[in-house]
This record gives sequence, structure tokens and C-alpha cells, in this order.
Amino acid sequence: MSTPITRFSSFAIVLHENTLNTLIDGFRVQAPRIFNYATPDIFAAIIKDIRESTDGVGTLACDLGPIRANAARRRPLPLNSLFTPVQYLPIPGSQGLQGISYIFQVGRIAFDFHPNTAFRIPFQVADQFTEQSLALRLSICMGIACLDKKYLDDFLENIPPPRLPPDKDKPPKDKPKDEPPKDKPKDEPPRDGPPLDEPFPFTNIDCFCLDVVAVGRLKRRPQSREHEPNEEYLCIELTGIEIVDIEPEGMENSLECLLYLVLNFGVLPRLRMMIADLRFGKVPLSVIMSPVSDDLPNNPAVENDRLFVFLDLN
Amino acid sequence: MADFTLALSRNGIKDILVTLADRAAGKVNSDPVPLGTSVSYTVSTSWRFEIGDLFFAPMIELNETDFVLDFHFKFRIEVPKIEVGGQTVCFAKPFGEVSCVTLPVITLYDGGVFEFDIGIDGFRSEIEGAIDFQIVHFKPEESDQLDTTIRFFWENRVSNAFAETPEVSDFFAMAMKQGWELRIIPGWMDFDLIDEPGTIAGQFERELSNAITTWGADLSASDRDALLDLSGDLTTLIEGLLDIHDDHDTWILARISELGIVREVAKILSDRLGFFYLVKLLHEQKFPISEDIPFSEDIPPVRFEISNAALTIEPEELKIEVDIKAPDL
Repeated sequence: MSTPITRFSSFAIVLHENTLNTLIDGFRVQAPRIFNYATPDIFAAIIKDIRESTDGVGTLACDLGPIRANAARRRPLPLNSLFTPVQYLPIPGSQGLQGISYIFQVGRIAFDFHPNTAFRIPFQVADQFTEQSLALRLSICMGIACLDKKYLDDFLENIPPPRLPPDKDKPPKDKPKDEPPKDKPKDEPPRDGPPLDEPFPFTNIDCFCLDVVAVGRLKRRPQSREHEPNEEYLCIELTGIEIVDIEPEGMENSLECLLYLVLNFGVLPRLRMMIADLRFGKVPLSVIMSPVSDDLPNNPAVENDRLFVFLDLN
Repeated sequence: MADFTLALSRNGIKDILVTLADRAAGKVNSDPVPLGTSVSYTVSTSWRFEIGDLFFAPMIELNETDFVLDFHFKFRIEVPKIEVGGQTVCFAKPFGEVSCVTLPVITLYDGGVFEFDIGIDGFRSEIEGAIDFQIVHFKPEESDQLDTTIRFFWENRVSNAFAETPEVSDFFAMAMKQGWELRIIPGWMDFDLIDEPGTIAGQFERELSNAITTWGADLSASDRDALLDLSGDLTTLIEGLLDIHDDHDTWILARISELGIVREVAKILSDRLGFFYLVKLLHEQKFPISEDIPFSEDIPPVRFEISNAALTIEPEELKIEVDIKAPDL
């Protein structure tokens, strides 16, 4: 007879890493739009590319995996549901309406609860993967569709020229209050180039893919210095991050540091939750997370490839 | 261990039972009930469950759980003014004269209202029983078990109003679908009346006598005796009112409708509940992609299948284990 899971609590929920990965993978395959994003021009180009291809997959997307998986379905999802359209990225410094066309795809996502069994953890962060740790491997692909160089002149010519310098000898003329704003300066010649409010034409997308492995932990921290058991919050903390195989090394380290700081101090703190707010069920049968103790030092606990959450009746 | 495990400790389940028992406790108050012209009473009845010991393995066994009834009677007795004398007495004098004398009026008791309470606490009956749980993968097309439950429902043997309540219609709609059902298998059930009605009647009479002695302390001995005689009559009256007979079980089950349900539940447990589910998880679980994107032909929900489910009862823990897989698309 096995040792009871609930020997130090009333109830317990146990989730194996394989289950979590199955669920995530299920969503990735069945709801690709949650994981794939593209600006409308790239989205339209990918659909055209797929329709014109002989294999129903095409070549334009950075990660062809979700398109291939959809094509293999007995009843494929409509192509317009494969991606979520997103806004163009602004061109820094540009006053124009154009933006950068891009595609962003999240590929495989896998969690590994201590000990390491689900995937290989890079040696750079392996020492961080200690007891009670969890790791996340994320494959992301993204690319920017750059302006085709043959159209460069057309677009450059369409940028409004700089204005004439004001005559320093003339005092500035007071502008009538009710005068409507002028669309164009008088000295600006009419232009025939491509419209400024349409995306740049492109012929290919410059894609790259990265594997990122993050190691972290679930931690209960006291809200105040007087450590009250009911005043703890649950947080996720990143203890290591590795972007696999990018060069030069200094850039890799700098990017990793940037992500490490942004995630630990910008993103993850927003996910913190008070333990008291983590209630499940309805009163009077609602349950809350059991307090930690010498017998139950970790809750949630990450052990034996599983996530354990111990609960008591509220 | 499986993909997903829900473990419930013995103590945790007992906590749930205690919580439910607390919620099930209640109290009702009656309107004043006249007993003749000068006596009336009100009775408040409260009930509660006291959960006993819970044992696991091989079945879940609940022992020594008491159903406790407390009665609280409040009596009001209006005793009229008691006077003697006042009559005119005539007698013949010598020489044929008649003389009449009016006797003085002597007030034996000025009259008044007595109110006193009698509490009969802890009228206990003990419920014990054992149930087992079973997880069954139910496929409507492979099952003939619908006969006893769903057909019962669909053949209009229950009222439409009952059938149309969302909970009931959802329950039966769910029952028709393929899924993993947690079912109750009744083991045994016992219902014992610990306190005998005769004892209760005796207790009632004692309490009533004590109350008269205490509350009627200012009365003369003869008046108290008169009231104590009355208490015997009241006890008989109360017995008659409550219809206390020697057949204890009949009395309790007939008089207290809540307990009548116990019998009915026991019957359902043994006759039908084996085919009912307590909790059901559909074989295929569906999740919307987002709240903004409703299900449609083109964008179906994300689906997962429960490929296996099992339940084990160990001495200190009940475990429900579920395996999940993505469907073959």
C-alpha cells in the first residue's frame, strides 16, 4: 500500500508533466491561432502561398509545423483561423503610417518538473535545476518581411521633404486661432509614389527560430515581515534562462540577461497571487492551499515529475 | 501514478461531511397550540447531525452518526381566580322566623398566568452505513442500464415540473452521453432509535412536574397538587398529540417527515442508485479557444479525451486517477 498523498493535508491535486504538456500540445495543434501571429499582409501572403502550393503547406511561414499539422487533419481548420492578425510594428523615428510586417510563432512548449526527464536542459542552466524546480522549453520562430529593395526609391521619394527654414528677419506671424490645420505645407510638391498607409511590398520573410530554456521555481513569500501564514503570496521566479546556440556569445549573454531581468522584474511579478485568493469551489465546500509546515515544506511542490497542490477545506 | 490525480483524505472527507451536517441543521417553531381553554403551548424543534467515525477500505463506512432532535416546549397556563364562600345560608329560627346569612367570600387563589419552558434535548437516532464507489466508462449504445433510470425519467413517471428543472434535465442529458461515471454502490445501512419514546414521555412528565414545582413555588401545596394532577393529563395529551406508540420506528418515521426520507433514500440506494452517477466526466472534454471565439463548424473547440479513469479506496485516502490524451484529429 502506497504512502498517502494527503498525509499532511485534506486533499491533493497531482499533475504529471506529461499531462500538462499533452494539454498544451493539444491547444497548440487544435487552436493554432493562439500560438501563431502575423501582420495582415503576411497572413494574407501565407494563405495565398498555401493555396498555390501542391502540398497544402507552402514555404512562406517561419514554422511550417502548424500548417503541416492542419493539412494532415481529416477535417482541416480554415486557413484564416491559423493565425491571429496583429498590428504592424512601428518603425522607430518614422513619421509615416507604415509599419514593419512580421510573423511570430510559438512552436513546441514543454514543461519539466524536477527531476529532469522531459527534455534536455542545457548545461548553462542545469545547475539551477535543483529540487522543487521546473523548467520550460519554448521554441519560437519569428521573421520580418523587409521592403523589397526595388521599391525603395518609390517609398523614399514619398517621404515628405524637410520644410524650408523660417525667415529669421520676419517676425513669426500669429496664427489665427480658428484657422484649420493645413494638410500639407504649401511648398510640398504633389507626390505620385505608393500610398503611405499601406504595408511595404515584400517577396520573402527573413525567419529565424530560437530555443529558449527557462528554469524557475514556485515560491511562497510572506507579504509582510511579520510572517502570517494567511498573508503569503505565490509567485513564479526565474532562476536561469538560456537561449540555445546564438552568436556571438556576448550578444547571447546580453539577451539572456535582458530576458532574465524583464521576466523577473517586469512580467512575473504581475502574476503573483495571494494564497488567500486561491480558492477553489464554492462556500461552504471551498478549499484553499494548505499552509506550509515542517511536515509540508513545499506547497505547491514540484517532485517526481509532478506538480502537487495540497488543499484544505476553507 | 496517473496523469492527473485527485486525492481526498479520510479526514478531509469527514470535514466535508461535518460541514454538510452543519448546513443541514435547522430549527422550526410552531404557532401556539391550544390545549383546552386555559392551556396552550408552542414547540420549537431543532435538529442536527453529529458525524461519527469514518472508515475507509474496502468500502467507505460511516459509524455512529447521530441524528439529534431537540424539542423545546413553552407552556402557558391561565389559572382562573379561585374563590369559595359568598353563598347565602338561611336557617329557621324558633318561632317560625327565617334568618339568612351571606357567607364571606374567601379567595383561595387570585388567578394568573404561568409560563414555563420544558426542553427535551438530545433525542437521538443513530445512522450507520457503508457505500462503495465505482468508476464506469459508460457508453449509451452498449448499456442496458438506461432502462431503470433514464426510462424512468422519460416515461413521464415524474412530474413535468420536476423534469424541467435545469439540474434534473442536465443530469439526465448528461446521463445519455459517453463518459466516466462515479457511481455509488450501496453497502449497508442501519437506522437505530436510541431514545425510546416511552422514555421521552417519562422525561417530559418529569420536566413538567419540575417546572410546576419550580415556577409554582408561590402556590399553596394544594394548588401545586392540582397542577401536578393536570400535568399527568398534559403528558397524556402530549403523548396523544405526538402519537407515541410502542412501535418506535413507525413512530419516528411517521412523525418526523425528514426521517421518512431516510427510508426512501435507503430504498433508492438499494434499488436504483447503483445505476446513477454521482459525478460524470464526459469522455470528450471541450474547451473554447477564447471567449471571443464561440464554437462553430469552422472553428471547433479544443478537445481532449479521458482515456482512463480509476478510483481506489485505501485506509487513509480516496484517489481518483485520470489519464488524458489528445484526440486523433
